[in-house]
This record gives sequence, structure tokens and C-alpha cells, in this order.
Amino acid sequence: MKYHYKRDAIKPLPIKPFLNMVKDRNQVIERAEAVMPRTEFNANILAAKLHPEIQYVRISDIKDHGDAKTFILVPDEKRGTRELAYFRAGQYISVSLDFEGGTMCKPYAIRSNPKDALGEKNNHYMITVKRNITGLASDYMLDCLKVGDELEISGPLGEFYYQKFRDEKHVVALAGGSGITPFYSMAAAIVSGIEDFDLTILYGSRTSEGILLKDELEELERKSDGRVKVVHVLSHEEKEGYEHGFLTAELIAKYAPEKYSLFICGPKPLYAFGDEQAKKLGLKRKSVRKELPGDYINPQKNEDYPAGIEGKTFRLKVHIGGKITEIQIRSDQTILQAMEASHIKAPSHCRSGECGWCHSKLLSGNVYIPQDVDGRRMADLKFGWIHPCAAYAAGDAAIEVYPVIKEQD
Amino acid sequence: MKKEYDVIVVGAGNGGLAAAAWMAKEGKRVLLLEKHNIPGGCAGSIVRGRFEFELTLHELCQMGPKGTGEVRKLLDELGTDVEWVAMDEAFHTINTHPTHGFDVEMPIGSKAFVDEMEKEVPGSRPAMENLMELNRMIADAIEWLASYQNDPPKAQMLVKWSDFMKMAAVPADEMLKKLGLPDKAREIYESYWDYLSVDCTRVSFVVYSFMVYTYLTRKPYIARKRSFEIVLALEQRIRDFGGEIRYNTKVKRIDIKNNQAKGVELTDGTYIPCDRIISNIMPTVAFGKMIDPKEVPVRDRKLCNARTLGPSGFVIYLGLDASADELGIRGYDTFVRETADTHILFEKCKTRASHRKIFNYSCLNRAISDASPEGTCMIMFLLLYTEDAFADVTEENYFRIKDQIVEETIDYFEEAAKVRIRDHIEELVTASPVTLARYIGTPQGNCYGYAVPMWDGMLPRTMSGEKEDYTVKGLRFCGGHGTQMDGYSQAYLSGREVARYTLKDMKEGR
Ligand SMILES: Cc1cc2nc3c(=O)[nH]c(=O)nc-3n(C[C@H](O)[C@H](O)[C@H](O)COP(=O)(O)OP(=O)(O)OC[C@H]3O[C@@H](n4cnc5c(N)ncnc54)[C@H](O)[C@@H]3O)c2cc1C
Ligand code: FES
Repeated sequence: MKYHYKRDAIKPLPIKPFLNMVKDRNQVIERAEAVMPRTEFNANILAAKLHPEIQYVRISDIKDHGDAKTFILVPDEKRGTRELAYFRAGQYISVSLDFEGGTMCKPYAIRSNPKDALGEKNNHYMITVKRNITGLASDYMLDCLKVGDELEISGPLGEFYYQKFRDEKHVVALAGGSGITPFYSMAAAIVSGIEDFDLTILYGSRTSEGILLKDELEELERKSDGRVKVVHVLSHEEKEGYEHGFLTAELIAKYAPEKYSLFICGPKPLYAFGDEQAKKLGLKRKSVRKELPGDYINPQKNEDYPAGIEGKTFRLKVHIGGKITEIQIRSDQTILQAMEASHIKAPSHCRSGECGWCHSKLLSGNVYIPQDVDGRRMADLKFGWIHPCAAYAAGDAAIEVYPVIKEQD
Repeated sequence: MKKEYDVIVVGAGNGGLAAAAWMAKEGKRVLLLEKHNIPGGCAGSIVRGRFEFELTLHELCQMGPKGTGEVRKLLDELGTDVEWVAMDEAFHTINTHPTHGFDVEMPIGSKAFVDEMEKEVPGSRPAMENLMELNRMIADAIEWLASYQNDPPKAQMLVKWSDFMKMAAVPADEMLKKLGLPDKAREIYESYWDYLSVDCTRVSFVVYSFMVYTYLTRKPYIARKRSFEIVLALEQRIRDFGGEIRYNTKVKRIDIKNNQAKGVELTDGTYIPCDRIISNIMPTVAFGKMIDPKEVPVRDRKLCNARTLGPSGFVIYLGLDASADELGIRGYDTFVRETADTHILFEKCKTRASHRKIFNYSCLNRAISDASPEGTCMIMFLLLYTEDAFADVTEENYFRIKDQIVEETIDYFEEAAKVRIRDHIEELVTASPVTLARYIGTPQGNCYGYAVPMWDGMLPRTMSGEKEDYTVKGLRFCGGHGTQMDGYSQAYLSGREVARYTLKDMKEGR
């Protein structure tokens, strides 16, 4: 025998149980009930409730704020959405839009109180959309959407929310313009006892006239028992009772307690600026959280931008389920934007290279991916996968994309 | 309707990928359908800030250098381009029991393992050496069986492997006692049970020992770029072999007529005819809601009902802003608990209320030192729930309950491992049974297929796979719910096994 183990413990064991294994197994099976097996458990039901792929909503009301509007979204039972998904204050939804300017999804923070998405009655979300000088989608939403219109939105998404094991008990928020929206939701959640932290919002606006959601914020502040504080900072006006200038380190130091986390949401320049201030203040990386920046702009300003492609137009072959469509792509358009302009329904959520929802295979050609929005996995790089929302064509290229096939009831 | 494909594989998890790749390699026209936007199922990684977390892989078994372990051979034969990392430690195990506790790091290699055990449990050497010799025989027997593709010559088997056969029907715990292992040595040896979904009093000795032994001799393996590297490598090979893959494509119905597979219907109503279907979706789900109830064979209903769903998991991923050295985190893969009795542990894993102080954690930087930027490290905690532990959770209390589990886990970790991580948490991600239910769509969010008690263990399943469990012509199942049990390596083996059976089905028209 080529093995040297002791056999005394093994010798007395019967061999029959092994020989009967299949027979015995069949017997156990035979004794079981013949009803259909159960597949739905609470975890499955809850998963569907918390993470619906699509939520069908109707605009039940619109509030005008000058150069912004708040849309109240309610579930559209007719199309199968009975209640909206609960969310963490600070999360966003992506709204599907289909208009002359293109077929696309755009992210908007859920501005309302998470509490308002609970229960079966009066279930709603609010989003507040501000006009964006260069933007097609915001123009479309502000100028064309009306009460009663139907929309398709994603489930709640994103990681920009308070996390008690990571963040300090006190959050100082830097908000600029429409960047107030997630903080509004956080403030509302604090007032309702859903979130448990203190929030000081340093809120930058141009003038005291144009402050988005000013009265609503004041009301939350009043109801918050001192847990929410809003400091208005005006960049283009000096006025009694307001801070003047930018959201600087000095200003943060003036209002922040000893220990705090810094949350930033606003126009793109605010993120770089906020980072600088955080550095001056000696904040650790873990204490600084930034909302996603959205569509990338000005890639040509980056040092590693490929030479000789600026201002050019290329051909992009888009493979979908074996069919190929050829479209034009300008070097200043992300691959996602080029597809949208051609009304190709490519998937997207965050538009910031982070969520991975647009994950596509680069079949040929070169692309330029700005490092600061390269949220791909290491293996994506190795095997040629890209996030079209954060990638530019650097020549003719071909990609394979995977539109979400729709549910048919 | 003209049939464009020889086989449709439903689901691009580890098993589905392996099956699709194998079929495509054999020249079959393959269509792989995946409901999610990326392949991998449980396998993959997630990027948060400056960290890329491994989603689920602790380690692959049956690997080893080129041309050795069965899984290594399989992946090489498919031509998967992966940079492998072999580990030099088996596991770190901490038992915080006040009187019978231990804290040991066990090395790779059966001799080193026995030596370390002797240090920890003086006098255990003779029994341990005998056990390792037995394990060597068990590993040979299982490889011999696999070489015949589970259909070995019976007479030869009886002559050659009767000891193996005898022990196959004895639970691990019982056999280890019979073999005279000192209690503490047995307890340390049993540390690995979590990976098998039933405790050591109910899992076959040879199955348990085979797993431990292949880790010791072939080393545990991981992929340098996380398990997503294996996923995309397999995906690439399916393309290279001419297979077609569609993402964001959910199969609503598997069409069966008169006990014969006919095709699949997608959620948008598209119908794709095909008379060979490999389902990476577990039988309970396929039979329970994707197949016309009239066409679900009585045996399959009974089989699904006779089985117990495998455990679901709660996973916590932490990105820390201090290195493993600075924090004093030892070992790559560590089991922590307050008793070594695997049966008690299993019982405690049934509900949230009883689930206290039992988990496994791994620190990837201990295997790949630069897995995250300098001055940082990552830890993944895994808690198993063996029953429907999230049955009472609502939308409203869900986030709070998750926080509570995280709190308890970190508390116990800091106490048991004697490290302090609280002030270093830079990123935190959790995945609960609800998250798993969302991504992989299994009942209860279970991620281990079916439990493997003696009657439904690897051996009886394997012996039933080709014929007994093949009830609907043209429909076969592969994955962590397959014959080889749960796990990455097992899912790849299951994918290949089912691809081979399907090729045989095609040839023989069965
Ligand atoms: C997570 C998240 C949450 C958000 N929440 C809200 C919210 O609550 N409320 C809200 O109002 N907005 C919110 N936004 C922003 C909102 O999504 C955008 O404002 C919206 O996408 C605007 O769409 P648009 O087409 O109007 O403009 P954009 O998407 O900004 O499109 C502008 C286009 O112009 C180009 N462009 C812009 N500047 C220049 C330039 N200087 N030079 C050349 N090209 C330029 C861009 O590349 C882009 O193609 C959020 C964004 C994110 C990522
Ligand atoms: S849409 Fe999120 S990564 Fe592209």
C-alpha cells in the first residue's frame, strides 16, 4: 500500500452507506413535498422595494424659484409604481429624458426628506433643477416639463450620505448653487430624527436675492433645535447679516467645531477649491467627502490630453446586440454624449465615471480617459473596458454597449 | 424558427462563464445572457475612493502551479489570462473562549501545519501526521474520480479506494474524534467550516479534509487584480472563441414543452429558440418562477423542497487610512469566534439576534502588500446567516440594522484581534442579504447555493449529476449550487462538468 496511515479507526466502518448514497438521497427527495418551491423571501421583497431598476413617476406639482424649479414626483400606479423607494439623505436619482437634444439620463439629488418616501400615502420625491448655462437637459426640464407629465427615474443611487462610522458627528457642508439640494435633504432628515448628526451649511450664492431655497432652509434651521445651521456666503454682494466672499478655510475655521467632516457639493470649480481649503485646514482624506461632479468638461486642459485631436471629429461604431451603428463624435464630447446626441439609449447614471453603470467594451481605437474621473476597476483596464461617460474618442473607435432591455408587463 | 445558437447560458456568474467558455472552446455557438450590466455575479470588485475592494473571493482552492490542481488546469485550458498570487499561510484562527481559547496562524504545507499544531497542542503530532497521510489518500481518490469524469470503473474503485468510500459517509467531526485528534487540534482544524455552509457534525469528513488538504498542498490562490480579473479573463475567452454575450438582458422565462427545453424569453418579450440551456440560476429560482409550473417535474419540486438554502452573507468592506503594520493586523484570512464548537456556531448563525461574535475577516494587503495605496489597507468582514435572518427588516429600519451589525462586528474585531481601527475608517461599504438578493437574485440573498448535509453532499450530488438530476431534456444547471458545492473553484468545476455533460447530451441526443 502506498499510504502509511493507521487503519484501525477505518476498518470497522461500513462501506454500504457510500454505495447507497444515491439511493438514500433519492429517498430523502421522494419524501419531500411536491409543491412549487418558494423563491420570494423578505430580503427579495425588500431588495425590489429599495433598489427598483425603474420607478415610474408623475409630476404632481412644480414650484418656481426664478432660475430653478422644484418638481414634485409621485408614483405612477398606472404604470406599475405603487410607492417610491426609501433612500439615504444625499442620494440621487437619474432621470431618463428623451427630447430633441438627445436621449439621456441625468442625475439629480433627491432634495426631499427621506421620510416623505415612506408609507403608502403621499409618497413623493422632490428634485430641484437649476438652469445650467451650457445645458440642454436643464433647459428642457425647466421650459418644457409640466404638471401631469410622466417620467422614468432610477432607484436611489450614490454614496454621498452621512456614514456614522466614518464621518465625524459634525458635518460642515460647502454648498454652491444647486449643490444645496443634498444638504437640504440631510437637514430635513436631521429634523425628522432619521439622521443623527449636526450640520453647518456654508452656502455660497451670488447675491442675497438669488438664494435658492432660502426660506425653506430657514424653516428647517428653526425646527432643528440647533442641530442645523445655515450660513449664507455672498460672492457678489456685501450685506449685513451675511458672510461675504468665498467658502474659504478661514470661513470654515470660523464656523466649524474642533472635529468635523467636510462635505462638498456644487459647481465643478468648488471641488478643487474645497480640496485646497481642506488641505490648509489639515483635514485627513477621510474627513472630506465630495458629491460626484457630473459631466466632465474641458479635457483639453489636462496635461495628458493627447496631442492633435482638439477640434476634430471622429467616427464611432457602436455595436449593440450584433447590430452596428456608425455615428460622429467630436473630440470635446464624451462617448456617452455622442451616443445620446444620436439618440442611442446607452445606459448611464452618475455621468462621473464612478458608478460603472455605463460599462462598455472598447473593441478598437484609442480613447482618452481623464485620470480624475477614471473610476474603472484594474481588470477593466487590462481587458479594454471603459466608462463612456468619462471617456473621449482619440481617433476612430468602436465600442459595444448594452442598453437595458425593457420590462414588458 | 431557425436556431442561431447551440446553447444558451443563462447568467454570467463564475459557473455560467466557465460553462459558456468551455462550450465555445468546443466550437459550439454560445449565447450568454446576463441580467446585470457586468459579468461575475458574486465575483467582482468595487471601487470606492482610492480603494478597490474584492467583493467576495477569499481564496481559490485546487490551484497550484501550472499543470497541477484541477481548477488551475481548467482555467489554463481555457486560456484565461490572470496574474495569480499564491499565499503562504493557511489561515489565522482566533477563539476568544475564556478558558479554551486560542489564537494561531497556521502555515501552508502539511508538514509545517503539523509542526505548528504540535507547538500549539503538544502531543498532537502522531494523530496529525496520520491525518495528513489520510488526506493525501483522499485527495488522490478525488482526483482519480475526477479523471473518470465521475463515472469510474466500479470494481477498480472498490479495490483501490474502499477506505475513502468508508470515510465518505462519516461526518468530519465524528471521524476526527475517531482518529484520536486532541480536542484543541480538532477545533483548530475545523476552523474552515464556514466555507462549507454546514457545520462539521454534518459535512462529510472526506469533503472537509479534501478542502483543507488541497489548500495546504496547492496553496490558496487569488488574482492580483481582484476576482474581476478572472471574470473578465473568462469573458474575453468566450469572445475569442466566437461566443456572444449580452448584458442588461434578463431572462424572464425558460421555455419548456413536453419535458424538453425550447428556448428562452427575455423581459422585453424577445424569444430566442434553443434546445440546450445551461442555467447558472439555481434550480429553486428556475423551477420556482421561470418555468411554467405545469412543466416542472415532480422530482424537481421535491428536490428543491428537500434541500436547505445555503447561507446568505453580510459583508463589510473597510478602507483604512493606516497600514496593516501600523494597525497590527496579522494574517490574510482570519476566523474569529467565541467557541470552537461548529454546531453551536451554526445554530447561532440562524438569526440576527443570536448571531454574535462569529465572522471571518481578511486583509488583502497581507496577500498583496500594495493592494491599496501606501499607508492604507483594506479589510473585508464576512458574517454568514444560515436562515432567513432578514425576515423582519423593513425599508424604514434597514439602514439602522445594517449600522448595528457593523457596530457589533467592529467592536468584537477590536477586542479579539486587539487592534484599533475606528478612527481610521476612510471608506465603508456593506452588502447585506438584501444587497445580494438585488444583485444575484437568489432567495433570501443566499450566496452558497444549497447546504451540503451528508445526504446532499458533494459525493451524492456528483454521482447524481449526469443522470438522476437530469430531468428535463436540454436543461442543466451549473454554479455554486451545483454538484461541487459552493465557492469559486467549485463553480468553475461545475461549469466545466455541465458543459461536458451537455456536449455528451448533444452527441447522444439525450
Ligand atoms: C450626483 C449628482 C446630483 C445632482 N443633483 C442636482 C440637483 O439636485 N439639482 C440640479 O439642478 N442639478 C443637479 N446635478 C447636476 C445636474 O445633473 C446637471 O446640472 C444636469 O445634468 C444638467 O444637464 P444639462 O444638459 O443641462 O447640462 P450638463 O450636463 O452640464 O451639460 C453641459 C454640457 O456642456 C458642456 N460644457 C459645460 N461647460 C462647458 C465649457 N465651459 N466648455 C465646453 N463645454 C462645456 C459639457 O461638457 C456638457 O456636454 C447633479 C449632478 C450629479 C452628478
Ligand atoms: S454613468 Fe456612472 S460610470 Fe458612467
